[in-house]
Amino acid sequence: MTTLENATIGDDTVRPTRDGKRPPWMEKPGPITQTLKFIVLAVAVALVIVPFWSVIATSLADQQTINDAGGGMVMWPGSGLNFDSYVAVLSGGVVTRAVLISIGVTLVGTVLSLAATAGLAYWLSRPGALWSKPVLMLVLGAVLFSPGLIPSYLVVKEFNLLDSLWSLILPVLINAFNVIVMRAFFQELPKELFESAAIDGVGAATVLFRIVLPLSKAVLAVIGLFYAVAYWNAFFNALLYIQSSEKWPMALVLRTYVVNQTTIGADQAAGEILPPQLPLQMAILVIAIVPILLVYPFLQRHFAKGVMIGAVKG
Amino acid sequence: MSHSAFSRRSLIGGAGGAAALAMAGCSSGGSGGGGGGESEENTAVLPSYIPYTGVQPDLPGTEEGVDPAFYNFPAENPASVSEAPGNGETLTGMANIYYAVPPGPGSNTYWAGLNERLGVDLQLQMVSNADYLQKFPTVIAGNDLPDMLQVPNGFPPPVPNMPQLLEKRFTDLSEHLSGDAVKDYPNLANIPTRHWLNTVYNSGIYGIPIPRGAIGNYHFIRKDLFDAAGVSTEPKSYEEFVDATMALTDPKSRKWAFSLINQPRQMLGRMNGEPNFWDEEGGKLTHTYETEQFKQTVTDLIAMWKSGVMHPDSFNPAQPFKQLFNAGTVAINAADGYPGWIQYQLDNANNPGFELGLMPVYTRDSGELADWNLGSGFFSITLLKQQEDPEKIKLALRVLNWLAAPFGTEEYKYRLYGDEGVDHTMDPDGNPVLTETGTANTVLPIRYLADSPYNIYVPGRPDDADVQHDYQSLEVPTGIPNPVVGLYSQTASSDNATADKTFLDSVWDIVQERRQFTELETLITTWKNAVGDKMRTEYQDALQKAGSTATS
Repeated sequence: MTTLENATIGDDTVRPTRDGKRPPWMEKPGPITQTLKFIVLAVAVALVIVPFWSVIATSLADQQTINDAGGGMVMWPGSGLNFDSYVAVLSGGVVTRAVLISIGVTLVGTVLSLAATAGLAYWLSRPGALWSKPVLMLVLGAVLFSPGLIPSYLVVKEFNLLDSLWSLILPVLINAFNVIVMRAFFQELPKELFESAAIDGVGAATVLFRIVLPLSKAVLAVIGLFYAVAYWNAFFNALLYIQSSEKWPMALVLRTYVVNQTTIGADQAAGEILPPQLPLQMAILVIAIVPILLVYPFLQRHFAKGVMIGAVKG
Repeated sequence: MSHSAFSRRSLIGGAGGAAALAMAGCSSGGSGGGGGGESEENTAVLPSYIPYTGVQPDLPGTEEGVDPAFYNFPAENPASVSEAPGNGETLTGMANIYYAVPPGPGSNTYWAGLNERLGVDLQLQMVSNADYLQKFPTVIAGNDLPDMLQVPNGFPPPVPNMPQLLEKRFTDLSEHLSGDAVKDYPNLANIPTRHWLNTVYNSGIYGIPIPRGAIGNYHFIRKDLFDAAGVSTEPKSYEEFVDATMALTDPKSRKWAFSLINQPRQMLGRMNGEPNFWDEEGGKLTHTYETEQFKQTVTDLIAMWKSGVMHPDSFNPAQPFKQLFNAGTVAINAADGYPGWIQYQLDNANNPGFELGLMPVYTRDSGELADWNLGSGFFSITLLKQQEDPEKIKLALRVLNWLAAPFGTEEYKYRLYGDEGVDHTMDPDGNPVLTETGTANTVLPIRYLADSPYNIYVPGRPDDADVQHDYQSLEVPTGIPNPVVGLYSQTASSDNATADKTFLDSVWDIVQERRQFTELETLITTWKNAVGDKMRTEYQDALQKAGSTATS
């Protein structure tokens, strides 16, 4: 207790305790602590890796291996690697087409969303900008209240967007939460930059493109990743708005493979015939994870920095 | 004693039932007066049943509902429709899909071939079964209806205000289908009368039923595991049944009798003589939850759970019960639909030890077969939206007639198996076997727009037809129908699912002894106050409206 009372914030000088020893956390860790640390971290890593591994192993297993394992996921593909599920998934052309559509929607959507979000956030971040207060209220309102399913559907229908890929982008173009995060970042930029730009007679657009955006790469990367992941994973809008299955994105195709069987319900009186498909489901899961997994490492370095923005000021 | 599978309105169905005509608005295809679904009576003349005779089954079906059976696919495939239904028109439809989505019309030769045979450009919206309940209301609300629309699967259909909805947006098909009018669509006339009960709303026929066998569920068992444990596959009393479940269980080697609570619940319910959801006597309805038999079932379930014969995760509705059954982890899969037979055989094609069986249920101690609870007889119904041009309705009906072509016909063969050499090959016994292309291409959800009555047929396994036909012949004659099949209750469609789940979850707590058995009474009262009494009133009302002219 006494040490706590005496300590002051920011005081990190090392004070020996009464018996002359340093407190335990200052010591170089001994082999036992090292081992314990290793075990704890290894368990944490395993908790992340094992499900992935199990998905991959199951995707490579045959039905017999799965039956032997009690009908569920396996940790080892068993007798040899079996790529049948991948061949089955990729041969029909449905999945490959859906992957291309998803990539397209994700790219176009992310670019447009970033542009719209940055523009709006910049407007709202500038002191004295026209109508920025009421618009900010609208944005905050959108965080709190979301429109219902049927009103959204009717709006999309009235804009003639049904069965158009734009219906996957335009209704979700701007995420209000992201606008607020980005606005907070813009507000943190040093005032002096804007003042000197004003003295040089630079217009608002040039300030945005030459000063603000180049300084905001971290937040753009993070928000961009948020948007990209959201576009990649979104199935619900496609379910509602896309009528022809040829325009389905990956996430919705994935759903027809994965979700149907588990939701069929136990007492479904009309138990329909379902294809045997656990390895198939896992194969398509792998296919769905890979592209977004490839993007992560490139954005990771911005990630920690970007996420903290807006955490303390907002 | 003899039970009738469809008693109430069967009298007004069939040929020459015009005397019972009690339709308020049969003059037009549209809405019949401003009653808003509140007409005094709700009876319609059901379509005449004219069985198709062009293909003869190896084992005949019965009027009670035993399905006809085929050992092999018929060698002769006569055409049941003489000319293409359409003439180049476009027809849209929406239905649910259980399979991975098939390639679109541009890259699907089967789809292109189907369009050619139908003479229409068939545009289908496919929605995975898991999402259908969410998609359906938006389509209705957006008033962007396809020409043919599948109502979400379930009995009763989970659609609030269904009568009003049908009256406003969909077509009363009575003038096209009632009585002998259905003769224009011979394949629809081949659907037995009992299936049509579910399409009657507002005194009109509002849809095409997707027929399902009267048997409903099978009690599947792993006969190989029963044999290995040395127990009979036909326990003839409660004691024998309990002994069998114990012999099949060995938790150390991960073996149990059941994987899900509703399986023993269904078997014990039959054993104890519970009604098929509702019991009707003199126009008064009693729900099974209100009966002494249900309490007996709960008591039995407590004992059964305690004895450890159920998989530890039996109360998890997402339990992969099909996989556990395939894997031999559980020996009984008692509450699965009859089409599961083919699926389990396919899943275990490479499992030489696998032997599928079906278990009959006997009463507690009389040594006689227990009453079988018949299924609702349909999967869903297909609605036709209101059209300005009556020809469009006829076109849709002709297309549905084509799609409902009976088993063994040329149309049926194409619908299920596509083109020979592309979508399927023929095995030595003359059974079509889908190729990989066929497997991907043929799963269009047209089977949920119109379907022929079910036939027992297991490709390449002729003996299976005998097993299933014997089982159905044994059980269907003891069948009791659910008396509210074909009736509409708003509460049942909108509120019952939640209330029923709440009730059963609490009952399962009792089974697991987390609650006292004495609380059951309170739970039943709560359930009755929430939905039970309202459903009873609504159904009794509907029963009266439907029954008042039935005997005239």
